[in-house]
Amino acid sequence: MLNFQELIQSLLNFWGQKGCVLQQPYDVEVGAGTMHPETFLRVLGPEPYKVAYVEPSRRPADGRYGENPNRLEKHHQLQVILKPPPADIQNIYLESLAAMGINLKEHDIKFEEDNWEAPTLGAWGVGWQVMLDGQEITQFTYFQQAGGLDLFPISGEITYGLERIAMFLNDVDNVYDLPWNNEVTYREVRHRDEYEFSKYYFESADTVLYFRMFGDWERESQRLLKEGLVLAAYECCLKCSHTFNILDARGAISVTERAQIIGRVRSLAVAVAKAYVESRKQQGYPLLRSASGEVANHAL
Amino acid sequence: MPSEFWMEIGCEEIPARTMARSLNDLRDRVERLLQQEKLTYDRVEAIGSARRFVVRVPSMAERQESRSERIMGPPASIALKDGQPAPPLIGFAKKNNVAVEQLQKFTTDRGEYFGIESTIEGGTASDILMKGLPAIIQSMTFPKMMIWMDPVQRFSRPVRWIIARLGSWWIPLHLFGVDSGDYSEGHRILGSGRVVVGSYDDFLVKLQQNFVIVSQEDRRKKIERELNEEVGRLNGRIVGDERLLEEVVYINEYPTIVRGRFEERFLELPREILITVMKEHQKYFAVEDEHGKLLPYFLAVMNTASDPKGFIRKGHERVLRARLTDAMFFWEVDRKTSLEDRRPRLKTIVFQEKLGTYADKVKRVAKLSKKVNTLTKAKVDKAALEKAVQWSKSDLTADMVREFTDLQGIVGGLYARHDGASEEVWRAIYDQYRPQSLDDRSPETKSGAVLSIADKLDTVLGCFSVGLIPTGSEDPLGLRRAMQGVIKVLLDHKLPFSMQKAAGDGFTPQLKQFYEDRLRFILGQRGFAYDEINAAAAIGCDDASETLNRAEAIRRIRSSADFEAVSIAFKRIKNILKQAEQSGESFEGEMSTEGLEPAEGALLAFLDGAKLKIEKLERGRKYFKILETMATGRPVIDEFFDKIRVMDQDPPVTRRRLLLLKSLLATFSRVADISEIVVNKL
Repeated sequence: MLNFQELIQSLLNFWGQKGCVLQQPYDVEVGAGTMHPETFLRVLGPEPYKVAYVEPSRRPADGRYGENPNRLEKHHQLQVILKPPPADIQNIYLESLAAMGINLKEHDIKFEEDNWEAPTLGAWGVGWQVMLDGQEITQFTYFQQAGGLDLFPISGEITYGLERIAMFLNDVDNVYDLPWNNEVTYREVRHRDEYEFSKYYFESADTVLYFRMFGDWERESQRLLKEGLVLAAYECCLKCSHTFNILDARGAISVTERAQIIGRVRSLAVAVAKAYVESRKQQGYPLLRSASGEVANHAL
Repeated sequence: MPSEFWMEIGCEEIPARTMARSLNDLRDRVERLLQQEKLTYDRVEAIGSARRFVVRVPSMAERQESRSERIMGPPASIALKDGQPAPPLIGFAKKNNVAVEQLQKFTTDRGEYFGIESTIEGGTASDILMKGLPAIIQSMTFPKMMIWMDPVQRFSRPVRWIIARLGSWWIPLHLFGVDSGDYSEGHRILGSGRVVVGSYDDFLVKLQQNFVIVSQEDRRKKIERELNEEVGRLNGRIVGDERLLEEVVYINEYPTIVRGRFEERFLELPREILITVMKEHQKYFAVEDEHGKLLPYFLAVMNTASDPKGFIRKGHERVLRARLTDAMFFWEVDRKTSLEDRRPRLKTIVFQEKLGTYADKVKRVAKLSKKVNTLTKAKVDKAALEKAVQWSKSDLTADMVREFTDLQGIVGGLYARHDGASEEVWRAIYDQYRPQSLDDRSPETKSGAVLSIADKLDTVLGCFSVGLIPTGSEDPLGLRRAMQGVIKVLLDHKLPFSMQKAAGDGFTPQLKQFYEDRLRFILGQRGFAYDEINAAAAIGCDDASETLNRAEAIRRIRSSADFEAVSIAFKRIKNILKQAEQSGESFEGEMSTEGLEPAEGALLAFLDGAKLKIEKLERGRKYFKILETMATGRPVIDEFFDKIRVMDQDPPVTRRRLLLLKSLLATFSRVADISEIVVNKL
C-alpha cells in the first residue's frame, strides 16, 4: 500500500520514464495545476512538450477549518501534459494506475464524459473524469483553447487528485487519516495549515489590501507585457487570480463586481497568451527542433 | 451477387448520452448513401457502445444496376433530307462523337426524334463505399466536438481504428489519420488488446470473447436481467429510470450488476434526495419495497465481468457513504436557516447578467404570478401564492442545492414544509421547475401550476426583453423548453389564459411568433395534423387551452361527409370573396333582403338560425357542437352554389350575395378556419 509520498514518487517516476520533464510546483499560489506556466504557456503554439509535476492547489473557498474529511483549501494535483497526445494515451494512463499497485482486473474503471472550462484563463477542453469503483480519481482533458487561442497541436492533460487516490489506496474515509509516510499522518503534516488558512481566508484577510493589490498586480502585468517580459507578466496575472479567490472567499465581491473582475483576469491571460506565442515565434520555436536537429513533424 | 457490408469506427469513450442519437444518425447516413447511389440492400443496422460505432448491411448489391441513357438530337422532320442525313443530324453526331449510322430514331410525345442510346455500367459498391463513407463519417455532428490530430477534422472523441468490409474484401479507408485495418479492440481491461477479425459473425464472437457485447440491445437485456435477479433476492423492485438505463447501457461494454448496501440511518433522508444522490452522481439504481419505501441498497453497473474480491462493491459503497454523509450534513444544517432568512442572500446570486439577481427575479415573478392567477382563474389563495413566490428561490442558497443542483425546487419544497408552510405553499415550491420536458409531469397543485407558469414565463419575457432570443439550433438558455413548459401546464390543468395580457408590453411580434410556434409544436406532438393545427390556430392562439379544444373538435368532426363538403364550400367562399375584393367590389354594410331567390333565402334563414345557436354554444365553449351545427348547413350551401351565380349583371344583387357569403364566413369562423382543412377526396 502506497502512502501519500510514495504515491507521488511512483507517479513522477512513471511519467519521468515516459520522457516527461519532471518539473517542480510553481512557487506562486495557483488554484490548479493548469495555471502553472508549464501547462498554461507550454500548451500554446506549435512546440511539443511533455511534463509532469505536483501542484499544491489553493482554493480558499473550499477551506473547512480542517473539519471536513474530504474538502481542503489546499489539495495536491499531479499534473501531466503530453503535447501532442500519443494515440495510446489512455492506455499509458491505465499503466500509470497499475504502477500505483492497482490491479485493474479487480476494479471497475470508466471514462465518463466531463468537459473542462476555465473562464479566467479563456480555456476549455473536452474529456472525461476517470472513475475507479465509482470514485473520480483523474480529470482527463484534450485542450482545445487556452488564452482564447485555438490550439494546435493540442495537448492531453491528465490531472490526478492525489488525496483522493491515496485515500482509495489506503482505504481511509478521512483525508487526515492518510499516512503521509510511514511515520506521520496527513493530519500531523497539514491540519494546522488548513485551520489557519481557513480562518485567514474567511475571517481575517485584509480586503482593502487585497483590492489594492489586485489593481497593482494588474497594472504591473500590463506594464510588463509592454516591455515584452511575458513570463513575469503571467506571474502577475496569477497573483490577480489568487487575490480574486481570496476576496471571493471573504465574501467581499458583489455580484456585479464578480463578473467584471473575472473579465479583467481573463483579459490579462489572453494578452499574455498572445504575447507568449509571439515571443516563442521570435525565438524561433526552440523546442521544434528534435534531438537530431531536424524540424519535428509537429510544425504544421 | 449480393454481399454483406459492415464497418466499425473505434473511438475513445464517446459521451453515453449522445450515443443512441449518433448511431441512428450514422445508420441514416449510410442508408442515404446507398439510396442515392442506387445500390440495392435489404436493411441497415447500427449497433455500438461508447467505444464503437458498428454499421451493418446484411445483404447489398456489389454494383449499381446498369442503366440506359438517351441523348436526344434533332427531330426526324429536319434530320433527313431526301432520305440522306441533313446538317442538323450530322452536327449532332459529330458533337457526340458517334457515327451517323449509330443514331437511332425514337418516338416521343412530341414526335419522332433522332438520338443516341447508351448503356451505362453501374459502379462497383466497393468504389462507391470507398469514396462515400469518409465524407458521411467526417460530416457527423455531435453536441460537443474536438480536434486532435488535425486542425480542422472534428469528431466527438478521437477515432483510433476503423474496419470496413464488403463480402470478403477489406475496404481501404483513411479517416482522421487512421488507416482501416482488419483488427478491432476488445474490452479496455479484460480484452487482449488488438483483436484480428474476419467476417461480421467472427467479429461479434471475437469481441464477446474479449468482453465486449457490441449490441446495445444485448447489453440492455443483460442489465435488466441482472437487476431483476438482484431485486428478486431483496423482495423489492427497481426505482425505474429509462434515462439512467440508457446511459449505463452505452457507458459499459460489459455491464454487470453489483449490489451494494448503505447504512439504514441514511434512510432518514427524503426519498427524492436519496434517489438523486444515487442516480445523478453515481449512476446507481435505487431499490424500493412493494410499498414504495426505499431499501438500504443500491445496484451499480460495473464495466467488468465480476467482482471476485469485493473491491468494487466496497469502493462504490465508500463513495456513496461519503456522498450521503454530505447530504445528511446539509439536510441537518440547511434547515437551521429558514427559507425566509435565506431570502436576502439571493441578492448575491446572479440569475442572468442583464436581468439581475434572483432577488430581482423573485420580485418580477411576484407581480407576474398575480396576473397569472387572475388570467387562469386558478383562484390560488393570494397570501399562499405570495409566500410560495417569496420562498421559491431561497433553496439556491442551501448547501444541498449547491452540491446537488438537480434538487432545486424539490429541496425548497421540503424545507418549506419543515418551516411550517401549508401544503399549498410547499407543493408549489416543490413542483415549480416542472415540467422539465414534454415527457415530465406538470405540477400537481393549482398553486404549483401558477408558480411554474409565472417563473418560466418571466424567464422567457426577461430574455426577450434584453435581446436573448433563440435562433436556429441555438437556445442556450432553454427558452423553448421554458415556453413549452408554460403551455404544457396550461393544457394539462385546462387553464384559461391570455398570452397577450400576461406578457403585456413584452408581447412583441417576435414573442408572439415564438409562442405560437411552440404551441403548434406541442399540438403536433399531441398527434394533431398540420391542417387541424392551422385551422384552429387561424382563429387565435392567445388561449392555448382553447386552441387545443378547437383542434380537438376539428379532429373529431373532420371525417364526417357533411363537414368535408362544408369545408370545401368554404374554400370556395374564401376565393370568391378574395377575388371580389381584388376586382374592387365593395360589399360593406347592411344586406337588403328584397327579391331574394329561394336558394338565397334558404341560406339566409339557415344563417340567422345558426348565428344565434353558435353564439350561445360559443359562450359554453362547445366547439364540437358549433362545428356540427355548421355541418348541418350542407344542403342549403350546396343548393346555393348549385342554383346561384354570385357575380350577377346587376351590381346590387352581386353585392347582396357577397354580403351573405361574408356573413356566413364570419359566423362559421368562430372555431376554426375550416378552409384550412385538407380534404383528400376532391
